[in-house]
Amino acid sequence: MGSESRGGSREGGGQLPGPIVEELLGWESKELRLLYKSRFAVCGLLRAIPPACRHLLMRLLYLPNSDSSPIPYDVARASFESDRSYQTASTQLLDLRIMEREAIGSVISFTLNAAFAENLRKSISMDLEAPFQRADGSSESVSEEQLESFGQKKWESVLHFLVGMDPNSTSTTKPPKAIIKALRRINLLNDTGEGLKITSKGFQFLLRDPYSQVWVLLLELVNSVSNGSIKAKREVLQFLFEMNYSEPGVGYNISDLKDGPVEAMEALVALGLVYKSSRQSNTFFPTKVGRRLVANTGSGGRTDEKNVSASLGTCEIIVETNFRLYAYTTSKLQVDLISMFVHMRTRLPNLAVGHITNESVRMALRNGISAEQIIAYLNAHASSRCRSERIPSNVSQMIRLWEAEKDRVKTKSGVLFDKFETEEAFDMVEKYAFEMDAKLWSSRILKTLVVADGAADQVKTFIKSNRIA
Amino acid sequence: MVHFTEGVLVACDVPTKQFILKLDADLKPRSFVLFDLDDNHIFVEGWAVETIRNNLEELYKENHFTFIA
Repeated sequence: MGSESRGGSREGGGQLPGPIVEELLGWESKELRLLYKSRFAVCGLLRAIPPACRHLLMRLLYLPNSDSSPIPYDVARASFESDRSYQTASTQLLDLRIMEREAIGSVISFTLNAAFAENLRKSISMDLEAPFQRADGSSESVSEEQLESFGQKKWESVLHFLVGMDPNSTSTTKPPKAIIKALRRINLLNDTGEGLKITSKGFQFLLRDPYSQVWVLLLELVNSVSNGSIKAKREVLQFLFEMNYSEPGVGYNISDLKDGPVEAMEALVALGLVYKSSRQSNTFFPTKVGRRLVANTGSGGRTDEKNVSASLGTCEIIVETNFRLYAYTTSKLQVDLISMFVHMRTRLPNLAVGHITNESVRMALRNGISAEQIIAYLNAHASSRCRSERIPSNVSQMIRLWEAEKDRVKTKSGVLFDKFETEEAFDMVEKYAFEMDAKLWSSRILKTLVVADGAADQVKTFIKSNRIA
Repeated sequence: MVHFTEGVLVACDVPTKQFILKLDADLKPRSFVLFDLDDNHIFVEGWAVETIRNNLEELYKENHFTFIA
């Protein structure tokens, strides 16, 4: 049993496509084929697809004559134990147009996208050269640490704005207008009339790892910068893939870039993905977040927790069995975040103390955040000095109970039918409602039936047309 | 003759149902329970859902011990 469950969970996690794959699945095949002409995109995508897909792809990559003649179905199928695992792997490769299906009569065969296969083989056997032209002439130099803190600061200002604990934030710390607009467009912020307020979606957004956060916002910004032009989007995405292979602390020329990334440059700077010393500067420096974005969002949104805390400011949480919570952090953002579901009591320079109370958790639940999310957050930040590196089980159970308490009562509007004259008549109508999947409740003894609101009219017509008394 | 009534089906646990029944009796003459179906189900007027939820919220609050003043 042990080995089975282990294999199952790993496979289950691997099948979740990351945000990049999700985005690409919505693209037209023409644009995908153009993207596959880039070696960096191909390499980046290889990391982003689930392990089963990667496995199938590598199997097929070095078959003799795979360029000229199609690969028979049996060969592709041979490396998988079950039909199901083969199906899931091949479907995604087909959807991404990395693999194309050909059917002549009943004979099914596959071909790999030529540019993709070619680029991948090249990358495996040769070094990748630098993606951009170095800006040699410029005298600017920025240290790696500076870049890292720049990226962090930029992103933290966005998150801070979202948490919104500080309504009179100065213009220097406030994120640019374009970002605020984007936050409202994707419904993370809502104008309640008395200023912007975080929505339940925004609340959930805060608990995701920073790389998926950046990714969500970036896609929205790129869409608006290019008026939804898919070409610009492709170029920006390719640029992100390329940035993955850039050198830390090295400046590159903007003038060598395509139009898409140049147009999006302002948004990229605002999100802290690249650094520019001034607006007019012709040199850009990819930051750590920028360089790692593609690699980290690829693997189904699962990033190691070290990265998470590094970009938000470290936070170690100890939760006691008496619901007292100690958060060792210097980041105001983390404290603001925690105070969304914890009753905060004391704030010291490197420590915040609070209580997890029914009231505070209830408030969070009302804001649309789930008990699982709270527990996941606390577990992810649990101090390494805690024995099991998890919060006490009585606390997590209690939080779950509080959530369950919220839906102790389930209501569904519907129509109640009663006073059937015979049991046969009742049975007939009950069966009809059941087959429509509209039956909410019924009792043969009371000869009473409750039908969901949407289907009530149909049931009424059924009763009329069958002259059921 | 078959008769039909529009309303809301409420599914809950046994004590909660009893609480709702008591609430119904307290609110007379504006009672809202249309049919008492079984231990876990009752059929009520649509407008009463908010009232039920608010009163339950109060009840839970009363029943919960908070150690913070």
